[in-house]
Amino acid sequence: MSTATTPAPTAIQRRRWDAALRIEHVEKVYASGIRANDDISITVEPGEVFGLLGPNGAGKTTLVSQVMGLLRPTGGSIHLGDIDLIEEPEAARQLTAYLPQGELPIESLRAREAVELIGRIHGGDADAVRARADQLFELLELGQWERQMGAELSGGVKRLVGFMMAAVTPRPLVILDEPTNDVDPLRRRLLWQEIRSLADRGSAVLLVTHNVLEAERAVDRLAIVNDGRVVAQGTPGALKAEDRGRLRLEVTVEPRAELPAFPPYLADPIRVGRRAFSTLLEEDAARALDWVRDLTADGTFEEFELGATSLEDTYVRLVGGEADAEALFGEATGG
Amino acid sequence: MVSAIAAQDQATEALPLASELRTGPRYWFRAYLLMVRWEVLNQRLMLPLMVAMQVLLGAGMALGFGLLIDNPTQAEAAYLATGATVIPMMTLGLVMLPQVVAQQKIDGTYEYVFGLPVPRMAMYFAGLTVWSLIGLPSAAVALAVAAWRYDLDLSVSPLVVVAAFLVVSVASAIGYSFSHGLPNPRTTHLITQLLIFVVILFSPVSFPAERLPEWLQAVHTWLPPEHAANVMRGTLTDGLVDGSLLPSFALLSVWALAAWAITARVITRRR
Repeated sequence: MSTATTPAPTAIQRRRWDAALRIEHVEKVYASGIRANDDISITVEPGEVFGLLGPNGAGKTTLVSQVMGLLRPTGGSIHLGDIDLIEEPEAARQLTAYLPQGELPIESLRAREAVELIGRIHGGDADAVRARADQLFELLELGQWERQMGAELSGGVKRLVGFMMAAVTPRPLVILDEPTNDVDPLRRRLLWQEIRSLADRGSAVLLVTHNVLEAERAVDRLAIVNDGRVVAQGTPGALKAEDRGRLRLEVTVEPRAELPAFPPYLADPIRVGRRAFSTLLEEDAARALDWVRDLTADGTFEEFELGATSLEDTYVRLVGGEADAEALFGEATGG
Repeated sequence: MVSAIAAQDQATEALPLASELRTGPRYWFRAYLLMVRWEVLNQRLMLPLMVAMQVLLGAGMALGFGLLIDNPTQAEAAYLATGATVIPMMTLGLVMLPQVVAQQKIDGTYEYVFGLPVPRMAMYFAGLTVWSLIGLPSAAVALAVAAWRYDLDLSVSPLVVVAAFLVVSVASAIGYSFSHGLPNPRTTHLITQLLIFVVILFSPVSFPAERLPEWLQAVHTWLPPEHAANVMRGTLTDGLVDGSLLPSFALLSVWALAAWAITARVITRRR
């Protein structure tokens, strides 16, 4: 991978704002009594990529809507620098660039038009927007799709166009909701570089995802949310600390076999289809290996894997639940 | 001097956040123009088809009068043709515009569009501008075809522009408000159908108010459709409307202002 092709940044990219996103004790309780989020406190510094991780329905998108001024929290405060984003939703929208998780309304816009028009709507002047769009199309190697309309683009390319729409005019706060969905592995790497470069240019980047493996490599810090609450927060290393010295055991159960009882030195297994995951202390590795070998030999397990724990195991421990694990491992191992 | 250049070069100079905030009429107008572009590009695939359909609708409407009334007199034909200009304007505001918003809610792009850094009313007026360009040709075509077919004697006053603007504004502000305010876009679709049905069949637009039951006549005194027909008819012909147009213009202006005020509230409200 070459980095020498990076064009020189133009004037408009050299902006810096000393503006952290400070979310303090935010909560939303609907009139129906449903609590969408509860006492959420997060700070995203400029220059930082901050991951917001959590299963579907954890309240990630609710929080994003609150930051964007689309949804009013019932308690707490949200500031960007010294600007109160709850009191000034219009300011929130001017200061934030956003890639939504869902569809982008660009069916009949050519990729290039969409990127430049959004860049101008975000206040960029025509020349700067054009120069930056040139750069982004080159960096993400998307030149061949420049003139295609949204309807003709594949899901992954459309996602990347959406990223460019959010990145074309630098904003103090950038919110990216599942930016890598459907993106091919090669461009995924380019995309991560560009996300990092947004932060290097001074934006605070809030990255919403449920892809733990990617987040572990890409974010500076992260918060794990579940049921509308922050259940853990810190650097990936700090969050894994509790699982340090532990190993992870993954087994695949034979199609007709029952999942056997796990010995007490193995943590309660989480089962996803035919697979089950557990963690154990390093000193128990030898007897765990004996146990799993025996069961593989007698045909209960098809195969097994013993390895180091990752942020995923921390995530599963914190979030738990089979349905959540399914989304998690389906994504992590399938893609 | 040197340090200033160095600071700029290394991009370490912190910019005050407030310097990023844009306000004022220039910002509003720039946002409006960009959103007009956004709307046009968004509709570009359907645009030729929609305009063609509007032209056919207009011509069809004009020729259809001859079927409703056998051999209409010139006055009858003029009455129908001028009344008919109101229908596409009402359709534009009460059906087309709200359905765009409803569609955005259905396909999930609503939050994106309303997260854009554009004043909400600039967004509304941009939509109104583009949909007027799409929706109004049928009114003009209906008039032109009727004038040719029935040999009508139109006398178009420049005030017709004001009249059309007011009519479109009232209808669109009402349509825009309820499409935003109603959480379920499918309800919006149903209401648009109901409204347009009521406007076409039970409003004194293409027929005189006297044909309605008295209570409905009284209600219509304060509702937009009858006055919309009045101002259009009065600015397109000479002598087809008795009395002054002023009360109708005044009432429509009040409706437009009230509807805009409500629209502004509804579309800036947060859940």
